[in-house]
Amino acid sequence: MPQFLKGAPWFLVLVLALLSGLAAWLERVVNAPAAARDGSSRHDPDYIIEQFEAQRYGPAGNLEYRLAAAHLEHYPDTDSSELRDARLVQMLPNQPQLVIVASRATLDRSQKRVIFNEGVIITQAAWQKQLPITLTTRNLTVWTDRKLAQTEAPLQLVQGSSRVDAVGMVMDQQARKITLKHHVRANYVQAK
Amino acid sequence: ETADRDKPINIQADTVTLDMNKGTRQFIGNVLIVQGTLRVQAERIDVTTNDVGDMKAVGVGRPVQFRQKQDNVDEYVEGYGDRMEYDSAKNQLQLLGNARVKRGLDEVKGASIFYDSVTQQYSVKGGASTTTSPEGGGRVTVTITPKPRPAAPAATPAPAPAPQ
Repeated sequence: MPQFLKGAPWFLVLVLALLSGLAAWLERVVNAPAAARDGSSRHDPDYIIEQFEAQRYGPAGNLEYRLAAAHLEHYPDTDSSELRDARLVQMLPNQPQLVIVASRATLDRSQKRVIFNEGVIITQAAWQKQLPITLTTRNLTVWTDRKLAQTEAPLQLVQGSSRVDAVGMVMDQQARKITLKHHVRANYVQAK
Repeated sequence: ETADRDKPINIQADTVTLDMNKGTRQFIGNVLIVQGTLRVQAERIDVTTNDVGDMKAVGVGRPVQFRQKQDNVDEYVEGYGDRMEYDSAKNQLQLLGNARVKRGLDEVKGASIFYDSVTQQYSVKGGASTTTSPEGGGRVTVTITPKPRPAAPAATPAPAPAPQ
């Protein structure tokens, strides 16, 4: 081992390492981008709409759905909107009207996905020989363009004299099918 | 029992799919239907109901099983088959494919068995003889087990003659 290293105290090497680390940290702190002072990094709404309503038309010019809310707040940082007392009415050709209401909802940045929360009620109107359907659950995600709705929460479905309790659901409006995914308990009572 | 017809119908299953086009409900996975004393178990059951709550059900299973209590008798009828068709309004049930019905110790086998729980009668059809079961085909098997005759009362010994 060379002569000059034997004698050199190791703590000098340690001190040099500490100093260079300190210098690197100071440089990063000094050059850190200044927090934008315009509030855009904060989660604050940039516009608010009272009694909001939007209508979307299909390629053939038919009204596909109407989304309304008593109060809407748009957030630029996530480009999403928070709705209060939200209501979605979907009208598809040759299908019964579907109405979804909830205390709160979030319209995400794609503008095609609505997440309903708190007191979700789905009502499908009577259609041909079928009675109306009412479905209640805690939350529901709706893809308006794909005509799909889904939840993993417990739910209850009532149609005429029948009632079904289950957990998890997929509602495919294109195929006109509702699949209840787990723990299905159905009850039919004969009308007297 | 005849009273079953007016009882609520409870169905349990793993999943159910409501088909709005056909107006049917397809229950899949460990399906159990209970209506009064009637119990039906199957792998899958397709149900259609009308607006007054009457139900028609078509079930498949390995096998489908049904069980129902008889009127005024503490006795059950049990039935098994590959496929079952049930009409709650008429209280009629049909078993198709390896059909078998047991009542007490009596048993009936055939290709299909039609059971009317109002009249509490069932009719059995043998299947057409097929290449796979030429001997067994077309036949109905009925096993009627005689009820054990009540034991005869023990003979009372003749009175001993009085001493002379």
